[in-house]
Amino acid sequence: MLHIVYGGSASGKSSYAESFAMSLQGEGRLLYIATMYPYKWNTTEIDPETMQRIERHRAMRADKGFDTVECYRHVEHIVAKRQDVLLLECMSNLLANEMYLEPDAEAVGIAGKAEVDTETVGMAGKAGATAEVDTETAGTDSKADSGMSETLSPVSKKIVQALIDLSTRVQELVIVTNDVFSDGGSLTYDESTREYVKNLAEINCALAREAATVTEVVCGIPVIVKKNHPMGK
Amino acid sequence: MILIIGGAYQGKFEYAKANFKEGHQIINNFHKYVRKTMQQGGDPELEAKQLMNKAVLAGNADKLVLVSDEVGSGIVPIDAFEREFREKNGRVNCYLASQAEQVIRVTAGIGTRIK
Repeated sequence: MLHIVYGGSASGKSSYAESFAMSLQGEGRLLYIATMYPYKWNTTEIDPETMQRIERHRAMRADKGFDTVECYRHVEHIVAKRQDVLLLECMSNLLANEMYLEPDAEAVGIAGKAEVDTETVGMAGKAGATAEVDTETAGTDSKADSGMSETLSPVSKKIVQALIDLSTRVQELVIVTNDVFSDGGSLTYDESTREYVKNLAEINCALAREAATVTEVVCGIPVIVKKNHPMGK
Repeated sequence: MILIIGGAYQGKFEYAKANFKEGHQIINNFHKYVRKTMQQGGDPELEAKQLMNKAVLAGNADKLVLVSDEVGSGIVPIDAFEREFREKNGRVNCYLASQAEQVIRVTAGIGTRIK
């Protein structure tokens, strides 16, 4: 099942999402899909502010039982087991990477490389990923083709389809996404940023439509905005 | 303590005045205090904690109404100070919400109690 957790910056959404994912864990693993790309500010060093954010999140989830998978884009190549609970943190970074990362930038980090089928991503450092493929459940049947996906941009469509498909292959998929829509920026930002905002908005809408639960986190407080009956959508 | 939050110009202060009258102390624009504290090199999270502790010791925490803007629902600012302010203000609001008896979110003048 698919779950969406959204909120503004520093709203406490990550902390809530981690607890929520932990509460969903059954027989399988807890996988943390980390999408923040460690930008280098010169040729070798990672930008200190980026590193600080990564470290903050690492510390926050330490001892919570997550196995980290660093996947900056091409999330369609994540292979997980049917029983696993996945937490993807977060959509705003994934979209930025899909839109702006240089084509030759790495798609996966060191942590959890084995959980990404790097052979199909065309990456160096191939790991034993095929052992992780659950052939029985690796269906590609996607619900994203219905309805409003006609109006999605190509990058939005790619992300939405990949994540809806991933949600059908695992026990639970919790996606953390951002509310970036209330600063009037759709009127004033440059074209590229407006395109980013629009993509993130349509991704959120498309995923929320398919999700079993949608929760907005406000000052650390979860506000449930959608909750389907367990028997149907 | 009662925390009233929401976007800019949503009628938070009016809501506070209309709903918390006798004996309540309303502090409006707490986010501006956060910002000013940062501009002066202080730690707004520490300031918020001290304010709460003082109110608890004085025995008037239940009469305290804090009104603050949510500022995190936009694109990451280019300016480093603005980025930090957005982050700190969010963390301060999370702290205040954790300490509050009630949290009310005001949107378009309408208050929704979320805690």
